[in-house]
Amino acid sequence: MAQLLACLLWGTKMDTLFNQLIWQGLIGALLPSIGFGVLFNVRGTSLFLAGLTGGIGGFMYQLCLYLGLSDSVANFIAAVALSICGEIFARKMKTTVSTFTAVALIPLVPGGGAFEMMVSFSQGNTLAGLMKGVHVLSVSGMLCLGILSVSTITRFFFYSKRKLETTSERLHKKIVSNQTKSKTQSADFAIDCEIPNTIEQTQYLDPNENPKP
Amino acid sequence: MHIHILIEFRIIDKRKRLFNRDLNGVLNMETSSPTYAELARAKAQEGVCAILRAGTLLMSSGAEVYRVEETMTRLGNAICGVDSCIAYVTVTGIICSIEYQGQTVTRIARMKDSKRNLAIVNAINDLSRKAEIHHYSATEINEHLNQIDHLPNYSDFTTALWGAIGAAGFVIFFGGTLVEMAFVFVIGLITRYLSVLLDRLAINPFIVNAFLSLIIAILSVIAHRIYTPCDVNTMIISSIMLLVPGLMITNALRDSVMGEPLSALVLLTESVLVACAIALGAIAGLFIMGY
Repeated sequence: MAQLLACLLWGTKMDTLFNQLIWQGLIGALLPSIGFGVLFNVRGTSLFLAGLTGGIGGFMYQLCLYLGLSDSVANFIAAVALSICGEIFARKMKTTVSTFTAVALIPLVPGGGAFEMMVSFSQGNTLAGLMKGVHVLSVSGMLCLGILSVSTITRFFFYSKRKLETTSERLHKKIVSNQTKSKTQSADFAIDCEIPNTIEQTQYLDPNENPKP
Repeated sequence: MHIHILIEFRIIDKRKRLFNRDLNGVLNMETSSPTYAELARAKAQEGVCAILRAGTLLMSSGAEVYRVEETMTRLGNAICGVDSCIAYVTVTGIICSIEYQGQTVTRIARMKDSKRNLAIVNAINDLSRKAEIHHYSATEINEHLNQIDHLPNYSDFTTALWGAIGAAGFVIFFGGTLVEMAFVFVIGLITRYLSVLLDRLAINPFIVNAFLSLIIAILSVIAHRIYTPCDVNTMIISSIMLLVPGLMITNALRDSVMGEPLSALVLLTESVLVACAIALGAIAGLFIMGY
């Protein structure tokens, strides 16, 4: 941490830091996120915001690696950061959170690791393959835990209050709406299920219309 | 000829009688109107069809299993007169049953392939929220689903271009150089275009993945021969990120945490097999080029 502060304040080794955090982390995660956003049919400003979410995730990942944390912890913190961003953007754009998180996870997700695992299996390096496989599982578990923890906390804070207030009101509303709808139901039935009239019957019985048995 | 017509007439006559008997059974000729239970059954059938359609649309556009189940249940319970709606969703099939005024109807849908389309997922999620407030009927849900079916999609060229840009972005993420980036952009463009072409032929997806990774490996080795400082490994991994099922693994774990361990196992197995196919193709490509 002190090292990072020194870099930010006095500009020592700024070039390598800039290269790792901004270029490799932010831009390197932003471009794939936008690219995959187009593949997943995300449109408009939410496409750019999804890219930004991915960029923030990549930035946090590289920052954690720079501070000397392990790979899976870095993934966890990046997932937490990007899902907080995703929750905020989803509130603003009025879409689902997964629009942002599914796209932003793409750079962090251990696809390359899964590929390397199968390569080392097929080359006969079973031990290396197993190590990579466990790493893949732990990284993806960390990612999903990061997203889950943030979504659970936000749901706890934003929804629990509203639900407690409106339980009785909602019940009352449901009863009222059921009563009003049951009045219209008889009319609905009359329109929907008419008895087929005679013309239709003759059409059905026409020998030219029917295929041979 | 004569006999043939006669036989035909006789059959038609028989059919007429059968039809009249059915009509008597269904419509209850004395009151000349269907009973309440039959109408309720028809209503329940309509509802199940609409909700199952929403579920299949969601699954085929790549939503998570628990989300599909939640949305289907919400949509079903919002229809007026429905006592209960239960949806059981797995990756390969959906079962949905609705109880409407004491009449229960159950339907099954089979899932084949899924392609990620977040616009449809968003739209149906929106629809379920609105349905909870406005209490849409089955026909109204069907109308909305018709609109959702015709949501615009990016053209093939746009997706190919942005897929290539994304692959080039991975080179930055993995710490590559600008020359490698340019090569990966070209490789990604070719792969995306080929994958669009192969999708139309409806070949087995594992074979498609193996073939595409074979081509990626061959092209990367060619790029290495053109400009020697380029690293083959970086180029292969960056362009293979277009095919690799990383998101599938994370989604599988997320499903298992949310209480869908069955679908999670299926997805994990599938993703390992896809990774196997991709690795096989890449190794074959490297072997062919003698790298």
